[in-house]
Amino acid sequence: MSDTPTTQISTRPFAYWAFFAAAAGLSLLALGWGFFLAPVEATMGIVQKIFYFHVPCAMSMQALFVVCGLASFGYLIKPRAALDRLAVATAEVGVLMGFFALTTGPLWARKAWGHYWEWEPRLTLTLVLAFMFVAYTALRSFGGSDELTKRIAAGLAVAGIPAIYLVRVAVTWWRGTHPRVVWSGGLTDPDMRIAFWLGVAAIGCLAVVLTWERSRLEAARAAVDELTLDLMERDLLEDDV
Amino acid sequence: MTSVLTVAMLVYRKDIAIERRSKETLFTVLSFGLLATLVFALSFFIENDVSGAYAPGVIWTVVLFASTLGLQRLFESERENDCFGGLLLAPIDLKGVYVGKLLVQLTFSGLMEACTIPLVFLFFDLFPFMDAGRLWTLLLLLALGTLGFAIIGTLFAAMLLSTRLREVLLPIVVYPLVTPVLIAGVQGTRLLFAGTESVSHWITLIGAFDLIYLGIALAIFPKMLRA
Repeated sequence: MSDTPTTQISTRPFAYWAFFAAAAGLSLLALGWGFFLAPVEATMGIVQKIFYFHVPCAMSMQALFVVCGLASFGYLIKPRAALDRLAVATAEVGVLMGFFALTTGPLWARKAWGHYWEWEPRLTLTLVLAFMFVAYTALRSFGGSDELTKRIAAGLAVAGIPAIYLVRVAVTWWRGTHPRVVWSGGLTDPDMRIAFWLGVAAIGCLAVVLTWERSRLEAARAAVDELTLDLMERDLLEDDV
Repeated sequence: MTSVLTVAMLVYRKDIAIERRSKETLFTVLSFGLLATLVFALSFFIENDVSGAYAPGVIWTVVLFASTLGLQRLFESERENDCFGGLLLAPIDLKGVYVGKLLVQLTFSGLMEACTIPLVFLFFDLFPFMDAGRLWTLLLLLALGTLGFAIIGTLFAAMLLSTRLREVLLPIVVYPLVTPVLIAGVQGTRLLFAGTESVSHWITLIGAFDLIYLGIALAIFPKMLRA
């Protein structure tokens, strides 16, 4: 029996605060650029500006899920607590980003396509991925913190990686003849492009900060669990705590 | 180390022997499959001559729902008296346990489909939409799709071994992962009912899904369970 818990919670390093400041600064900059410098889009009007927020959210969701899958794969090969914390954190932040993408998407679609929802390939992929990682978070939230739960959730995240490709193929073939309404030409105006990439950077930094914070929280939770167990073994704790 | 196939056959014969005496799982899966067919027929039936357009959805949802019910019971026999603990301690390759359980699941799904799908054909009057050649293609599509559902399902049905994970519903985990199979199956079947002879791209997609996930499942099933 050790006197100090083995799980140590580090203080927030400089890099954390750097990302924190970058997320805050870039968000303001992206908003300013998107609304004041980038021109209003000719056919869609002001509603197009939601893209500076919507697309970065969808992009960081996919990136977070890939990181979650890779970290989980690493955890199955070599169980390290840090990999597991990274997987939980990325999955939860990814679900949040997916929620942002899936609420802003229909708001834009109503104006641009005339419907809130279309079974458009990318939209469908985002929805299915979000469901997959909602399942992951459900397993982690209700399954307790035992090893079997962690490993089965890790298996789910690993299985999620090829699903990104397979679901994409399936929905593209299914709705393949659907007209591509989404910008096929890309962003032509340089100010639009800057606003877009500022948005990507801002949301990306925000995702890093949130993931970092969530994984610290997970470490803290593990440390508390360990301390509680320690105190219980020494009979210093009421049983019903 | 006994070989994977030997272990698989042992696990399979054990589960089938238990089933032959209790008949619990087969009865549950079959009666649910038949009732689901009835419920869907009552809800969705419009007219005989347009059945071909939406009956594919009925076929595949019945297959998916009824086989999920089989999954719920797949590891039930290992839970009692910590039988799974025994399997973990035995000097065997856990891949064999996975393959054995996969075969059990395929047996139940296959028997269920043999009873429910003819009933869907009967209720929705699908016979005019089919000929012998396309029927074989449909059977191939169904076989590959059932295998896909079973590969994912068997892998995650193991979560029901954990008392706390039982509180999370298995379909929440399984259904998002099998969406490619569901889309490919329904679209392929719809094309067949519409008179298309070749649905090879959908068959390829399900085949690729089966291969990729069988590989992943064999690789991670032992790692997921043996901590």
